[in-house]
Amino acid sequence: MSIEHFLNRSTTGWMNGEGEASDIVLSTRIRLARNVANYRFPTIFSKEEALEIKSQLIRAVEDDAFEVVEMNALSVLDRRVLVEKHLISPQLADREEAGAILLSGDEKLSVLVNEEDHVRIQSIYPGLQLEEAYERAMMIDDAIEEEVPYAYDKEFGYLTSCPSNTGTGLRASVMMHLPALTMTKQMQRVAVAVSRLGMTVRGSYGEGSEALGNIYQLSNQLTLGKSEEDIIEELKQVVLRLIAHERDSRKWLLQRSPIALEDKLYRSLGRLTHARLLASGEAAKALSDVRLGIDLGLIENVDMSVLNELMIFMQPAFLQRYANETLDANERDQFRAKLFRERLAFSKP
Amino acid sequence: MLCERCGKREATIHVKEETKAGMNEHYLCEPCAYTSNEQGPFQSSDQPMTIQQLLSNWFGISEGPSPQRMTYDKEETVCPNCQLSFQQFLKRGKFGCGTCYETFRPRLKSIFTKLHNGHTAHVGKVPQTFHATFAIERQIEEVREQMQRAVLEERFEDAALYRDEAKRLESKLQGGDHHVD
Repeated sequence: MSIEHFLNRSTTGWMNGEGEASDIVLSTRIRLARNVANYRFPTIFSKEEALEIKSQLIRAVEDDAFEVVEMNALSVLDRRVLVEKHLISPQLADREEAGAILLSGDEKLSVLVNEEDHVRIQSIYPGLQLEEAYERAMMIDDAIEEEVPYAYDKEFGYLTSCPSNTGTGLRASVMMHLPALTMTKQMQRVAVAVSRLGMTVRGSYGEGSEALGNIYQLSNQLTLGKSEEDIIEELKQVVLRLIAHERDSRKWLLQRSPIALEDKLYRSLGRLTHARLLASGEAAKALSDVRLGIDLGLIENVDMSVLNELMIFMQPAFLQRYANETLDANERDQFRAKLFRERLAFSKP
Repeated sequence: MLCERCGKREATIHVKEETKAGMNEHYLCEPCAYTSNEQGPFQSSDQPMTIQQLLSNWFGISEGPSPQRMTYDKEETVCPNCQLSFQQFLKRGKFGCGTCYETFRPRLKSIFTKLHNGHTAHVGKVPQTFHATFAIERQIEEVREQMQRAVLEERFEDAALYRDEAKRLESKLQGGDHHVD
């Protein structure tokens, strides 16, 4: 398998619509931050140190069937594509010589080398699968630890660049589609309540509380003083409460003004299937509506997996790779509209 | 003035962004300004607030002199491994290496208390190799005690055997295990 495969496929392991509560939870991500003992952290290490760490890690996972992708072997656009697939971070994409990503064949597991920390293990699963994603990340964590010594301290646990990750180095995140909670203006309250529990909720695309496409990411904030299992269990409990809350709000919306809601959602479908210019923000909003319409049984004949695919495909770098040319903003909107029309026309059963 | 990105439309929006290198200013048209915000989902998603701001607000890098700052400035602690000073750590919000934790240990408690809702110690996973290291360290201590007892009891041949055993375990720690400096 080659990197071409990762770059060309728009769908990725975490996007196949499987997993628990997949109508609301899009994906689950586990991230473990680790550093190699006796080396300075990536914020200040030398090029020699960076290269040594990179080769040590590549050697450590030799037997685990990973695709090794070094950042300097990829074009700027290809790196952006991997960012848009959530497989690497923009920070890693900028690390020309030192950075690398080790990818499992199903794209559910990756190891980011020399990002903010030497090692960032990341597993992404579709739907709500916190335990599964955690187990998978732990397996590779153990495997690396056998070969490469980690920076660890009896008192502080795993030592990370940023003090906000010290301890378990674990960030568990769940990406959720919460249109009804957003429409009924409850997300502000949710954010406050969640922060009291040592967690954060924020828009998954874009900055601040305004979430593009009503997609939010709920994650733990504390990494010290709690075991990995407790962090995951507490997060899961909050996710389950949010799911129940979202379902109640959907019911309420449907009862209160069924025609107005149906009209709104179908207009969005019309926009995606007929627009000639589609900006990414507009497309994200409309995608959210159509997704809600399918979940509520109002919209039929649209395949959810096509929506998932389009969510990834509509992003700028992906579009340009697909179009095989550089596109300015206006050309992108035009190309995006064309892509939506074609894909949604084909998706009808 | 034309938009600096597309060079086609009139620049109507002035964007200022703070970067590591300083303030960046851009003059863009509306469509380009909009798309320049098309950032990936990873953007700052791991950091809800900037740790640098948090640390400097709480732990004393303020413009004016504050009581907290005075006490920190008297003696500047510097990490012997990476040369990062405690002040630099507060300013950047990032450690330079594992030794920084050791160097700044007495001062970290108050920082972790703020960042982790009152928690200051790790209770989660322990690496397998650490279990092994701890076990060998304990074994060495035991063998040394036995050696001293043997010396006191004038069983010098036994003492020599214990000494060799302690040496063997020590070299095992240094060679076989990665976690010993």
